[in-house]
Parts: sequence; structure tokens; C-alpha cells
Amino acid sequence: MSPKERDKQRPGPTCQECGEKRATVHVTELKEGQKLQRHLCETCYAQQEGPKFLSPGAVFAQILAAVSPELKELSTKECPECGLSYLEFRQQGVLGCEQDYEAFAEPLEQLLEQVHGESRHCGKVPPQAGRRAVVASKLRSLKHKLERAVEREDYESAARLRDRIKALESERDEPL
Amino acid sequence: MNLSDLQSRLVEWLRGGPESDVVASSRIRLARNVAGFRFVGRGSATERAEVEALLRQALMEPDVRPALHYVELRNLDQLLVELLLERRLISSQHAEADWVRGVAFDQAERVSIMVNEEDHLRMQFMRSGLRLQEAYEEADRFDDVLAGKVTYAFSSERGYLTACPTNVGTGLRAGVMMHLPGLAMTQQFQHVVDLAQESSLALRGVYGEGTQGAGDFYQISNQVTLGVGEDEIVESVSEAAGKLVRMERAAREDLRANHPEEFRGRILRALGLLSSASAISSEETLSLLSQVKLGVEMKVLEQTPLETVNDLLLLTLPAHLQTMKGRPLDTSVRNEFRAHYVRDKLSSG
Repeated sequence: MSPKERDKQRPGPTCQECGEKRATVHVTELKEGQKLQRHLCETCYAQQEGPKFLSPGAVFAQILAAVSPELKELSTKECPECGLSYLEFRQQGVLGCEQDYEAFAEPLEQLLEQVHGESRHCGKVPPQAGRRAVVASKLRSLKHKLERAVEREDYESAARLRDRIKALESERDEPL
Repeated sequence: MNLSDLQSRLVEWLRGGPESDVVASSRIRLARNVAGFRFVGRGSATERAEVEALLRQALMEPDVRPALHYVELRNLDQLLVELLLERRLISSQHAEADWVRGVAFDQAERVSIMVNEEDHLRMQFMRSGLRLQEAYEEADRFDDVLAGKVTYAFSSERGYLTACPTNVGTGLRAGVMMHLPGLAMTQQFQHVVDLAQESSLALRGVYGEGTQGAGDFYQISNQVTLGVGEDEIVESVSEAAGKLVRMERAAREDLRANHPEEFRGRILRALGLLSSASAISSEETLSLLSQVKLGVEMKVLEQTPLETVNDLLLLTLPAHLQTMKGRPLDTSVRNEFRAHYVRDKLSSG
């Protein structure tokens, strides 16, 4: 049995337009106070109503078209050092080299926020990075701790942390 | 060192330590990369070989303490690779990779440094029992020594740069391996899952796939590595582990007080099966040994020494068993040999 014949045998109305397919779109319109009902198949309805009627696939294509400039932008962005594209990274989940953190700084910032809730380091610093990096990391860490102390209403600790932050900030601002 | 000799040595995580009735071991892992080289996954063969040679040399220098034994993995016998995996000296990813890579570990197997895993360096520091802080102190000291020999990939904003952004920042994963049969038996495992979620910690079974691990061994570890200090990570994981210890002990007490016969029956049945099976799989052995271990710790079984159970937990794993035999064995032969070995050990104590 052909799909057409099967359509005809199924219960329910056939399309008023082509008279072949099953009507799956039922339109009720009000014309001059009169209720007007039409029963159409998807194809005929799409022809009549034009772009208003979209299949899920078409809707998806439209969304894709809307965001594609960004996707295109991201997929063409490449690390000058290792040649990895951002899209490749998103597929594999692994970066290619340390420069990628610079090359994809913007999208990574967002991703790091999602994964860690933060995007700045406030832990250990290797000696090679120098005193400034040590102070910067320490300051960020103390500020986090201060925020949390305030949240817990532990004002004694908060006051102590504030003093340490001030002392570190003045140390940082001193000429090297 | 003859690697197959490892087979007969007890591993750190079965040596006992603080809270060892529940906590098997504490582990700190630091991820580091060498500046100026692409990450392992994207590096060329030459680049990987260069990094491997550089790090191997650095790790072998005399001021690196404890002294390490270096093993190159690429041409190593598959059975020995699996032996290292079962002893947790390497990860499964490291075992399966096909490029030039290695592992350096000390005599006590408390330190193991994987070279060319996902990152150039994955350094693990292990302590039996709940001793994360102590393990971190050693990791920190070791890391300082190595930082004097190689330049790490580091940025002031993002911290230690790792191949996967889920490790960036501190590069620190603090994990505690726990034995939680009581919580599993009292159907309270959901509480464990909830606790892990509340504290943003990852929970996974140590053996096998999925969260319901064979033998009721689980690991909790931090997920966040960026925007927090190392001290905070270590503290939060230790604190959660401490809570789980109390929950597990309460569950065990509940079993003993409220379901004494059922509890005793289960443990005796587990011991009975292990003492009489003629063939047994690794997974079934683990789950029965888990209950026997609980029985020994709860003094339901007074004749079975804890060391025997701990020995068996390691030695009945497939690669250990085969190394003991000196050759690869088919699964069915292995299952028979395992049953025989367990019976023997349990009857001789």
C-alpha cells in the first residue's frame, strides 16, 4: 500500500485543498461574523500561509541562522600558536597550548565562570611569576575570604581580613 | 627495580591511618605544564619526546625527594601497565595512551608523577587514612622543588594553565577514598549524593563504572579549581570527608543495634561464599570482601585478620593475580585461581 493510500484509509478528514493527504491543520477563522473552518494538510497549509507555518526543522534552521554569525566567528577563531579553533576545542574539551587561554580569552571567561563560578586565580604562584603576581593572587584570595566572612556575619574575621588587604595593597603600590 | 615485585607489596591506601575504618586514603593531585611546549594532546611526537626527556631528567635529579623510580610506559608489557593502574600509580587514561610517556614513583608508592598524561605533569601524593593536609604539604614542597627546575605554564589571571579548563587555576584535585558499606546497606546513599552536591564535590565509585562502585569504595573530590585557594580546597574536602565518616559510622551502629541478625547474617554469608567458591569474578570478590571488611571492623568476625582482607582487596585484582602467576590468564582460569587463592588465604589467616 502506498503512503497516499494509507493516508486515505486513516480516520479523520482529508485535506480540502488537495483532497489526498490527511488534514492535520484545522483553521478556524471569523469572517464577517461567520465561523469558517478549514481542514488542510501541512503542505497545502504552508503554501497558503507562506512562512508563518514552519515545521520544527525549519524553526531550528531559523534559530541556527540567527546565531550562526557568532558560531562562524567562533569556529574561524584560531590560536596563532597551535592552530586550534575554538569550535575544535568545544568538541574535544581540551585546549592545545597555553596561548589558547589568550586567544580564546573572551569565550573562555564565560566558560570558566560556568565551571568554577570564578575566572581569576587566587592560589599558589610559582617563583617565576614574580612578586606582583604573588600579591595579586593573595589579594584576590583575601577579598574572597572577606566576602564570605561578611556573608556569615563573622565581623571579627572580616575586620582582620580588611586590615590584611589594606596592608597588602599599600605594599603593592610601593615602587619596586 | 623489577616491576613484577610490586605485586607482593602492600599499597599505601591499605596501610591504615586516621579514620581508616572508613577512609582508605587521601590523595592530592597537581596538574602542571611546561611553558613553551604545546599541551600533550596537540604536541607533535618530537615535542612530546622532548618534554618527556626534560621532565624525566628533572625528576631524577638528586635533590628531588623522595627518590623516584622512572618507568617508561610505551614499550612496557601490558600486564605491568595494568599492575601500575591497579596500584593507582597511573590513571586509566595514562595506561591507554599510545605516545611516549612515563611514571616516576617512590619506594613507598606515596608519590607518583605521571609524565605526558593529559598535562605534561600529573603529580599525585597519597597518604593512607584521612590526611589530606599532610599530603598537600608534601605536594606543595615537591612542586616548589620542581618549579626550580622547569618553567611552568602560568598566567597571573588564570593560574596554572592546564589542557582542560576544568583543572585550570590551582590545578589541584584533593580526593578522599572512602569505604561506605553501611550507608549503602541502610539505603542512605542518597544522603551521600546530596552532601556531595551541596558542597560542590564530585562523587564517584572507585571500581567499575558509574556512581554505584563495586565494593562500596567511593572517592569524593573537589570540582572547582579556579578562584579558590589550595587551603580552602583541602579544607572543604576534608570537612566533607569528616561528615561522611560520621554518617557511615552512625549507619553501621544502626545496623548493629536495630538489625543485628540480618547484619550478622549478611557478613557471615559473604565470608561463607568467599571461603567456598570454586570460581569467582573480580567484581563479586570486591563486593563480598567489602562486607567481610565491615564485619572485621565491627568485630562480628573476630578470627579474620584485617590485614588478610586488605591484602585480598588488592591481590585479587586481575593484573595482580596474573603477575602472581607470572603470565596472562583467561578469565575463567583467572576466576578459578582467584577463588582458590581467596580460600587459601582466608583459611590460613
